[in-house]
Amino acid sequence: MQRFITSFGLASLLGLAGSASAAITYSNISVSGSASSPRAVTQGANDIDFAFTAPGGVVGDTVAPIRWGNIVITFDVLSTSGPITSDIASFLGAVLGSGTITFNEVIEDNLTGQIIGSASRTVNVTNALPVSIPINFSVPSTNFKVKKTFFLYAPDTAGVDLAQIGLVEQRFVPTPGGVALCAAGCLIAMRRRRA
Amino acid sequence: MHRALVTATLVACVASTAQASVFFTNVSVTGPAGLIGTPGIVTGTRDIDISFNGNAGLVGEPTNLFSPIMPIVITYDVSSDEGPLVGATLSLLGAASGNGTVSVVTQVRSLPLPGTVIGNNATGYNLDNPPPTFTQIVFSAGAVTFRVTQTITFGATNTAAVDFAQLSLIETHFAPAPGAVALLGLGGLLTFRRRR
Repeated sequence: MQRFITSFGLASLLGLAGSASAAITYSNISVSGSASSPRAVTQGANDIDFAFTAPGGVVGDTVAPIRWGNIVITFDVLSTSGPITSDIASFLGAVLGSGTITFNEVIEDNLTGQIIGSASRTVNVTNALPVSIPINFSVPSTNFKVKKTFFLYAPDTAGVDLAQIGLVEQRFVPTPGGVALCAAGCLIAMRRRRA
Repeated sequence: MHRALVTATLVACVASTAQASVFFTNVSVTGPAGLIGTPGIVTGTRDIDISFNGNAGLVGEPTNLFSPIMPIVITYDVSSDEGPLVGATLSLLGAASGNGTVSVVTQVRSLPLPGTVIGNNATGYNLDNPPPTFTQIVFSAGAVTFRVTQTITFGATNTAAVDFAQLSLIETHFAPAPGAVALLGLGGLLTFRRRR
């Protein structure tokens, strides 16, 4: 009995340790484009944020004569928390007058090269920010590349014209449960032992 | 003993996969100076990204640079140390408004030159067929060294509407022949099972 309790405790600890070390890691992060600086990149457990501060991320009257520009973001994602099945692409900012933002995103599996997700959106004053787009992967993946581009354009008119992105966020949704799997395994082992 | 051999084989396979890679050399981006600017070129394990910034990759109303205009031509050589590559995925990210169009023609030719054409593709986008655009290029024969030529043509004429064509990123990801590791692993498992 004592041996079983010790084994169970050890298995639980290992499960928790494995779960604690499981994570999503980001690498080869590249941010370029004429409107991409200055910016800051912040990584969380399941998300990555790109924040832009003027004159980065903005075109139009406030930074005239700059009336167009682009941002190109690429990064690799590696999950040790199990396959990722979807993500949520969000961006926050402002559009005024003639301002428009064209957003594209493609997600590509690094091992097969297969495109497993994509999204696009054009934002203007009638279709305003913030934008939050759920992207369901056609195939779950633990190792993939995210590519996203923004084209900002605010031609001069008599009004106030502006296209601005302050924050781009990508949040990933792993499949549930390293801990749950470990607990299930322990429960099954305990049941078999008792039987 | 046999188990150790199988394990060692699998470990060796995984290690060699981890180190295997695709190499890109002689990368060239040519075209009108105002249209190519200073392109960003980033290579990964099996992919190459070429990005255009600001005025580059942009034709139409913003820059007052309207078509006809000479295309951008991208060329590079690809070599693989993980066996023959059998295809590629091409992605285009950008924007199109009004009558703006972006067209990309890709040709893959085996090396050494003159070689033979093993892959061809034409794709693009416009307002009705907006980006992102992605397409598969299947090679007629696997190759470990080849040259890729991509011709990017921008179209946008001046009308009363807002007309422009813009390309921010063109990415090409090359695919190896499926499953060397999987096949070896399967072989090892079958041998192990027969032994038992």
